[in-house]
Amino acid sequence: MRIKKPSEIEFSPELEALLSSAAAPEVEPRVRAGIASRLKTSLAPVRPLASTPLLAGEFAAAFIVLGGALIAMMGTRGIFALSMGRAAVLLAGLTAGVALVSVSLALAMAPGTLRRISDAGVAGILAAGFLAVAALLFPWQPSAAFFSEGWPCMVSGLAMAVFTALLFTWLLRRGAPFYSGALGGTVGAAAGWLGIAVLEFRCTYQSAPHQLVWHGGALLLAIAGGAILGRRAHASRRMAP
Amino acid sequence: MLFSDPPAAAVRSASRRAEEDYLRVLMTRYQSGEPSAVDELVRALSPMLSRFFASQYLSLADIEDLLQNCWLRIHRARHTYRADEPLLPWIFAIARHSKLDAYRKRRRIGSREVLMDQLPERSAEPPRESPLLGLLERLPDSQREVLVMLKVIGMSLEEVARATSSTTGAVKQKAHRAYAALRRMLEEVR
Repeated sequence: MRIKKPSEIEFSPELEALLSSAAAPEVEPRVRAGIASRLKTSLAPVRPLASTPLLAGEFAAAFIVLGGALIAMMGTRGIFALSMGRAAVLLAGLTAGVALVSVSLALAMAPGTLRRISDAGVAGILAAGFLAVAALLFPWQPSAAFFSEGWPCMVSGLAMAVFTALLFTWLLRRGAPFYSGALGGTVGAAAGWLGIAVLEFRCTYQSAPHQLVWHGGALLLAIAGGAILGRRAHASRRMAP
Repeated sequence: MLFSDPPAAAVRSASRRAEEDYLRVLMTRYQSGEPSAVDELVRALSPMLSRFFASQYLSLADIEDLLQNCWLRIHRARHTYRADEPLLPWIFAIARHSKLDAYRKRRRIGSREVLMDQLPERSAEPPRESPLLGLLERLPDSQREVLVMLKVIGMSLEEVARATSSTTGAVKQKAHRAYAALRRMLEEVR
């Protein structure tokens, strides 16, 4: 076969034809029959997954119910201490984050869905979005009790994130056949987002350094923890066929 | 122009749509638990899947193992398919994970193997039609995968984007890079 000049390859019908006629190894009919008979041994009717909007609604509802319960338990002094404008910006940002993670988790339920934003992109948008809003919205006031005021926020934020991650993992169990580091990161981001949402309602330390380090830190740790656990879950699952 | 000339694309897309509709019906019957749908689906999709796995340059035995493993995963995840979504991206998303997991497993086993004085003969070499096709082996995995789905399997950009959990822009970029790399390699060969 004549090989065309390299510059022609991109437009070469010859290369197109060659690639599209690439030889498929002939799998023996007995192998295909074996596969089919093995599948038929456990063949039963299944109920297909609900639509993506419905699943996204389920995740959002779970987020709101759990978040609402935690806010009711922990109080709302923080949000009421903010000016109307700041509170509105913060609530709008938190709502947008809930919508983003809900849709992302719903898309992860079924393989082969079209993604506008990757899992890593979702985690990145949430982290960067929160850090940017916190840096711009809150005053840069130093505090003498930076550590003693901050660590309880991070611990409680992470504790809520762990609880939320368990809930979302349970909700994902019906779909999401490939639990990966990327999906784990999204679950971690969703869980961390709920943690900081509750903190924003409760916490009265409204300075940018506190928000960035302790609230933002809880979100970043939740994302990292989710990604690590997701990779481990994937590694343990792939041992099985 | 890179992805196909318009008349050929129109003919191919019309036949692909009919094929896709047929496969969707089969998949819905499979979800309803019809045994005949299993036979038909396995017969219709296995050649495409084995082509996809063959891009890893595995022996026929390895391709058959991978195929069986992939079908078991498809079986377990069959409830996650929705009839209003295209089928091939769903199938190839699962196939891609099967392939990646098998590759990681081979690499893990390979890292623990002890070298022997004399290597046993390989049971079967993958078929290579031409030196040009062999050049595909030298492409990075992600580019080869995209090129194989687009050109060997005949999927559209959007279908490949769905199967690889990526965007159409990213798929297009990988295909361009793969073509450019193929051109460079051919230049070296010549």
